[in-house]
Amino acid sequence: MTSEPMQVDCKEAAKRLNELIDGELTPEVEETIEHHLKDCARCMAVFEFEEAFCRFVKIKAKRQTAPEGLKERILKELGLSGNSCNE
Amino acid sequence: MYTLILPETVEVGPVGFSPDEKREAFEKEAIPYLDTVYRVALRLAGDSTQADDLTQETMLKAYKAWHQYKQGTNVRAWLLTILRHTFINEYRREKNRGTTVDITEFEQFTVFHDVQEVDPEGRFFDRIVDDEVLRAIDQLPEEFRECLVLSDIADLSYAEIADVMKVPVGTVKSRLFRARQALQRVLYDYAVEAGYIKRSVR
Ligand SMILES: [Zn+2]
Repeated sequence: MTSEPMQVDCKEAAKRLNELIDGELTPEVEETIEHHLKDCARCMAVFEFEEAFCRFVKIKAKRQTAPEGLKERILKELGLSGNSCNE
Repeated sequence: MYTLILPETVEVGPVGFSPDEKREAFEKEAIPYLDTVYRVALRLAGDSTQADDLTQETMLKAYKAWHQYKQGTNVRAWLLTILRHTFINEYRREKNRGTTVDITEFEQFTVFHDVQEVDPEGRFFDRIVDDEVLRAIDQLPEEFRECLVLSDIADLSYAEIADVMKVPVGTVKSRLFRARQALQRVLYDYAVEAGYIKRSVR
């Protein structure tokens, strides 16, 4: 409560959005960026757009599964039963 | 401390582990990531026959080398290190596979600025089908594509990606940023052409 959080400008915040989305910032920097987003509607809008885009890519790119025949071949080769094949 | 170097073909488990225990551990810890390994293999190799072979070879190598896997570390990162190594050494023959976008030609601006008036939440992205997204990813230059795939398909951290690709974390950060920006641009252009969104005049 006593110490003012570090300040960043829009340019600096924009540079950190990917790291914020990926959970790669230190807690202090994360707090600083989030603080800026709360006060800056424009950066917040960009953040939400980027976050939605990343979510979209992750979903779309993760829908394929290994072909059943391939799974069976690998398990057989290794002498495994295949009870734990699902993520 | 001695490092025991064994020929690749000799199967050994960690000291004190029976072959059964090794099999059980591998099945429990590595096999669940078969789909992830396959998805990454597809994006690296670019065709499904090669992706099948690459996936199989990766899993067999991982099984043989299971004693080298450090318990408690990210098994996905370990499997993908083997995959990448195998791909680079045995599969990456023809350098030219399809069109590659020139990443330097992209302005380093988010598509948000183009769509803020008409679709600030980027809902038009949801209309783009999976195959089109995968095709766009495949157009990225290899080192950028790898970063994006390891992050967004395999969910590795920046440090883990740096480790797999043997580049500094800063390089991962900037490649991932540019890869996402380029992908966004390619998909936006596609969405405009498909009529999902109107191009704004800037
Ligand atoms: Zn701002």
